[in-house]
Amino acid sequence: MEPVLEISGISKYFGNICAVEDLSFSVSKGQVYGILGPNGSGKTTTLAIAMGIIKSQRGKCVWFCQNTPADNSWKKNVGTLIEVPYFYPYLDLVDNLKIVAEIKQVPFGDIFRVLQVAGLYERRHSTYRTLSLGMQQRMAIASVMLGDPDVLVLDEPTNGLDPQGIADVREIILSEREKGKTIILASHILAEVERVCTHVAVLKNGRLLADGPVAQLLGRDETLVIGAKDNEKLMKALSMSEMINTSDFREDGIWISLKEGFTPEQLNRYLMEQGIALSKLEKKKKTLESQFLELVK
Amino acid sequence: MQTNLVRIELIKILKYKSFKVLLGLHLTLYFISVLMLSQVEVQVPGFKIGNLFLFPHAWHTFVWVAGWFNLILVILVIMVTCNEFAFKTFRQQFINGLKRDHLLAGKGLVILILAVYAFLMVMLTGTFFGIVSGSGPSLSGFFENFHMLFVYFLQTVAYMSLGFLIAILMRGTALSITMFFLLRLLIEPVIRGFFEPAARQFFPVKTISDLTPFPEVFSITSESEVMKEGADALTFEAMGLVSHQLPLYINVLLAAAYTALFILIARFYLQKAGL
Repeated sequence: MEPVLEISGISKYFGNICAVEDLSFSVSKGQVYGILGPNGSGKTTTLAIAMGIIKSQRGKCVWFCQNTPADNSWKKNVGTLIEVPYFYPYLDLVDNLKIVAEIKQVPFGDIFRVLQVAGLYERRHSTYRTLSLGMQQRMAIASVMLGDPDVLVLDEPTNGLDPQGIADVREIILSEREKGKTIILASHILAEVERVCTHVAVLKNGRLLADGPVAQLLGRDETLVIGAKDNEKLMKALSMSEMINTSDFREDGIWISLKEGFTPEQLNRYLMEQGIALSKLEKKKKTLESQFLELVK
Repeated sequence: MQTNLVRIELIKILKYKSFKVLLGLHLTLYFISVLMLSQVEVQVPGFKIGNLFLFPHAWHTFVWVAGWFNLILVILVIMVTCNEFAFKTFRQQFINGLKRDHLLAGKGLVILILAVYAFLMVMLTGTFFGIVSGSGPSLSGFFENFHMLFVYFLQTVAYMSLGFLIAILMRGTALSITMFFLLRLLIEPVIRGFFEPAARQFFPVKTISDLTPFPEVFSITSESEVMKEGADALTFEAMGLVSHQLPLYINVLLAAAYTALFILIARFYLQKAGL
């Protein structure tokens, strides 16, 4: 797949504090790439380095196979929202977007299209300072979509939005994904990321903990809930088995994860050999949230 | 389609209320000063101050009066520059695709727009009052000291470039304006005091300020009377009312060099600093 952004070994320190350490990942065309991590994990710093706002001490970022963040010409094809939107408070929405349109060399007519998409058309002549936090975020989304760029970089795009606003942004992202756009999305809202992202990278303390397709990440350590007439005997058998990665005795049964290469069928056969007949064997689908919490634990 | 920096800057400044108010204040104060000056009648044997508005000396007078209000133009440049940091819009425009040099060029255009406005303001008022004051439509008189308008243009650009540099370094409007005042009224004059009189004229604020000196009222209004009395050295400089000044062309070269230096330092800092 054609790479859109390649990040190789970037490191950034603010004094003694490590913001990003030897971070590498690659985003290909058409992917919706989620960057996850707790507060201070380096998500925004990574995007700021990728966009050339701050410089990394090591490593490099390459856009569209050839452009460095300092080039800038490629940015006209990338709609970017980092942290919070910044506009002139005394200008109305149309004038603020006219400035963006001039920079991105986009016809002014597109301004009204993006205001419609962001649900701000009725407020087009309001000054930016009169907008609520949620509306300001919608304005940022409108600005990002101006000129219909091939790539969207969104850092916490649902910040300050109400449930309807969050749903609207999700719809926008899904619709852009349908069009084959590449989207890089940093977010705390894991359920949203799970719904819209095809790939994710999980960061903690500036380091990459895991990355890859969402389906692969969720299916990596399959969780099973098992039970038998004699759960104590079952637990003892499990503790002697080499197939088990983790086991946890809970109210609804024993939660286990199998080591790589082992299947539930193999486990069942082993337990039968031990004289244990399972009364319950359920595959539990992991959520991104549970997987994320396990990774960053 | 090219990114049009002029259009971008015009959107920003023409819809900015404080900018329009200050610009209006600049124009009003200048007009009031010119009108007041036109009413001043000083009767001292040998000269008449009303002649200040006669061509070719009118240009000296008008650029000198306009020079009083350069501070307002500097405040305007400081305000629009510091706004970019306060609103973080420099950062946003960089993210959107402008280069750091574009950010600098945008503010350079604002400086040029303001300098052209000030140039036209002085040219139009000078022409009007010069003709009304009885110079008549004599083309030779009109163009004789016309170059002073370009000297004034350089002065406004130089002051505004200094203001821009201070704004880039300080980033806060109030702090930058205070720093400009301190530099102009306290810091540089105190530093100049440590140097020989001959060296004092080479300091930046002094050089820029001396571009539009106090008009030589005696020599320009009563030259014939003065010559008759054989007092041809009766200038303000000879009387000790103004300090010795460098020849105008040296002042112009120095001011232009300082302007280039201010812009280069601002560019260097803008390239290195975070937005």
